[in-house]
Amino acid sequence: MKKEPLELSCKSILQLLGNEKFCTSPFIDLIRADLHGKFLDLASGTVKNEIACKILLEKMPSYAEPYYKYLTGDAEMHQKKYFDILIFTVVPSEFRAVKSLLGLEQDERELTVHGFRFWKTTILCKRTGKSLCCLVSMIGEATNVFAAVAVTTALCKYRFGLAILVGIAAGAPKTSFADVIIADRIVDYESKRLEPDKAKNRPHHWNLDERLRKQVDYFLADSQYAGSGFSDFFKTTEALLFDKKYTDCTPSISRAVILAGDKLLADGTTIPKLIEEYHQQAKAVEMESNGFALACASYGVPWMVFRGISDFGDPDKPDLKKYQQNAALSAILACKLFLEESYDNFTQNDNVSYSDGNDIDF
Amino acid sequence: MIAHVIQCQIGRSASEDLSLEQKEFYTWLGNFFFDNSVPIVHFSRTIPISNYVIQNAQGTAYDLVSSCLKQASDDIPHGENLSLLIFDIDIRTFGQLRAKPYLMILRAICDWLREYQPPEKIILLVDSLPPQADFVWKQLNEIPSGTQLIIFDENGHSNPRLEISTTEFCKKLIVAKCNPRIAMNKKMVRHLGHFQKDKGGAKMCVRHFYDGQYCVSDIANLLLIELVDEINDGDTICYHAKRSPWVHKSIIDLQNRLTCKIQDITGPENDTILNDYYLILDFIDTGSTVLEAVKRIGRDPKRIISILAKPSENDKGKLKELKRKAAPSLSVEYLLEAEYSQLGLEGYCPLCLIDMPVDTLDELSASGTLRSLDFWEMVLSDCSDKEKNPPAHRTPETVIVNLSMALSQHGAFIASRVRQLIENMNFSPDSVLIFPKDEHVSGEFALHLFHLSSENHIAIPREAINAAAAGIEIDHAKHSLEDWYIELQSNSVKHCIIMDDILVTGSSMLGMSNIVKEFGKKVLAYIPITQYRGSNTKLPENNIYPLYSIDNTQQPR
Repeated sequence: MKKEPLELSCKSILQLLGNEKFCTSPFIDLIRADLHGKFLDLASGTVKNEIACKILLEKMPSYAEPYYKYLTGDAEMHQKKYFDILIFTVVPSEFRAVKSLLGLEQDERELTVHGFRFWKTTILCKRTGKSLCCLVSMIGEATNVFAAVAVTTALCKYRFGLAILVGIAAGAPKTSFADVIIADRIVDYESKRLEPDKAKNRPHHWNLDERLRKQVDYFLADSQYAGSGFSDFFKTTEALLFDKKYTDCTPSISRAVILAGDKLLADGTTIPKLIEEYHQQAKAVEMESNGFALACASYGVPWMVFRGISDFGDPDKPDLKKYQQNAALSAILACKLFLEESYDNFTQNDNVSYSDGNDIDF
Repeated sequence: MIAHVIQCQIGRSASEDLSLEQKEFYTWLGNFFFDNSVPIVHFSRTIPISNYVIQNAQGTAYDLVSSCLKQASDDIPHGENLSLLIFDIDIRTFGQLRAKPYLMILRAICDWLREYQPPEKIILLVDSLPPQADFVWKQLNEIPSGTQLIIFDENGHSNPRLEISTTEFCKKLIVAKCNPRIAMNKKMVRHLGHFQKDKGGAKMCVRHFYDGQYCVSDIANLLLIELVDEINDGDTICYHAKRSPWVHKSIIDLQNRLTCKIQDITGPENDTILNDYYLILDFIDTGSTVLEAVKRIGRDPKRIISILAKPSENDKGKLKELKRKAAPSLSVEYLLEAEYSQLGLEGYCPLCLIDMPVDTLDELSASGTLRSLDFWEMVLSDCSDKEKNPPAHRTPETVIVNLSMALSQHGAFIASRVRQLIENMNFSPDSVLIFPKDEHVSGEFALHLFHLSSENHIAIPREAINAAAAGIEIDHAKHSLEDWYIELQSNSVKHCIIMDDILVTGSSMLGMSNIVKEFGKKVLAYIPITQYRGSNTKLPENNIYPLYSIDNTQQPR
């Protein structure tokens, strides 16, 4: 026999208590006791904190005080609304691709925070059957500083289980157009100490969380996406969404190092040199991941980077500009497939079952 | 002249007195046979033939009927003769009359007739006339030749055929069994929940949903009473019930008793109606759907009846007038007033904001308990009260939820939750519900539950409960003539479910449990509407099924 989930029970009692009409009811203490009893039976710390903060900060500060020590969590830290995924793109062509694939509409806009607009959407995680609640936005400008500022703005306002940067990048010589590179390491190639006779590289690097790396590997091992599998997906999707198709490309997905700096490369020679100098396994070079990863690390939020190869940092770059959207589509498609097929949110409390404790009888 | 009436209730576990309406029906029927001179009519308490007896102990049916008939003979004053015996085999909800128990009942009648002075006439009331080759006739051939046997079915058809008004018979029998208007009032469930309805292409969230699945036959009966005298064979009953499958079932039930066509006009493809028609609706609000439907059909119906309607100031009694341009207004009669509150468009309503899923009737059927929001909203609509009738051993709870208003406004909904709980827990269909007597809450509740599920209920006086809770044995001499005592003593009562509005320490329910066990019956479960969790010290926790639990310990764990 089905019973009401505790979380829903607590939220609905809270809603009632927030109704001024019932403030003077003689049952108010009884209702609070009921809420308190059910609250303590909640297993999910995340939900508990969310409700606790509502009680502490919005609804009943006078009620909360004697029970504060029994309410878990840091109220200030958990004041923010939680979303499973934050997705950032950089430039408009990338954002167009993301909007097309995820079907974002104007009136799903969640909020404007310091000029950044966030769109709300969901992606169904087929492994667990749960919908991942996502916020999507656009940085607007290239370079790491802008990326860091944008992500920090989002992380100040909301909490996330995972932050993802999706966009285009310049590819290493052995890559092809629309190949997707999932970063397993970001290497900042800008940091140097300049001495009179030489420059000493002081690259900073960010490693993909080991748990995410395993999930990526399981994703890549899926026969659906090996060989020409992803390419077929991409072509079908590209044909569906865009009029302009880049012919003769057979994109694949791989996990590799990404080099991040603040230079827009179009000379045809820098990329091979950077790869030689910093990491022979690097497959992409771009301008935002360093700032992105730094901001995420500051807030303790796991991150991922998906890049679609849109050019090769050479003089032919302008010819490929009209296909940037297609390359970005490849990246967001790979990202979406990963979230649907392989992603596992490990940032929730360890003592919570995957159902988040909502089906516990009371 | 003396007439005696015995009613056998198939599917019931406890005996009861006949209602006033039933007595009036039997008296009317008796008058038909005696040229409207009123015979002296004696009424026995009903004979319950429970589902257990039907399936496992058919011989018991013979004993029960024999015993009742013998008592009827003993009640005849000396020197008088029984002129008429009316024997009504009344099949109740969840009961079914299988061949063997039927045979037992008839055999008991025939054996009694051989032993005692047979009456002039015997009227046997059954649900349907048995076919000529049926075993029933073989059994009834044993009736002494001096006694005239007349069998009636529930539509008033008789064997042998008589010049009795079948429509009047039908209407009186319907009211006698259960006044359908009262039954519908008690059984129409206004669910509390998070529902949606279409509004101009968008989805509007609403707080209530009307469900008539428990009163399908009552709606059919009520429509029969309204229409039987005026509807012609060639007429059509059209119905529009997009969200209410129970209306369709009622119309099918009605069609079986009226010789007319029926037509569902929910979709525009079904607008071709050749004859005069009556229009039945599930719900009317502004009337726009009705006006559209009538316009599509192309001519006005003879009559429009809506089961439910949102009342407006312009209504005259239960009649709405729908104004039309360039045509006379349409009158719509409705049977029940309905109210529902609109919460807001999907995504913006307060329940959407707390992620409450949208309800469907199937999902409601899977649960039996009350949600926090529903429970507290029902309670908060009333004032506080000191607890009435607390057990002697403790003081009243100073603030106790008062459920009288909740039961008054939401009785059918709460009763439907209890019924669902009992069904989901697979308790025996012969279970008898035990309540404290003379308490408004329990009495109201029992009435709704009785109408919704026809389960027997026995109300025990508070005095007996308190004594039993204190460990004092029942005063048999004092109580033996009281209804509850007689009913509980009956062999057909085997399993009991103890119910009350509030469970605090458990003493009241324990008292009822002690009484039930003293009569040798088994307690299947304890179902309080509200349980104050943490304070029960008397009852086994694993046998308690509250509709709603409140944690009132106010202590952290």
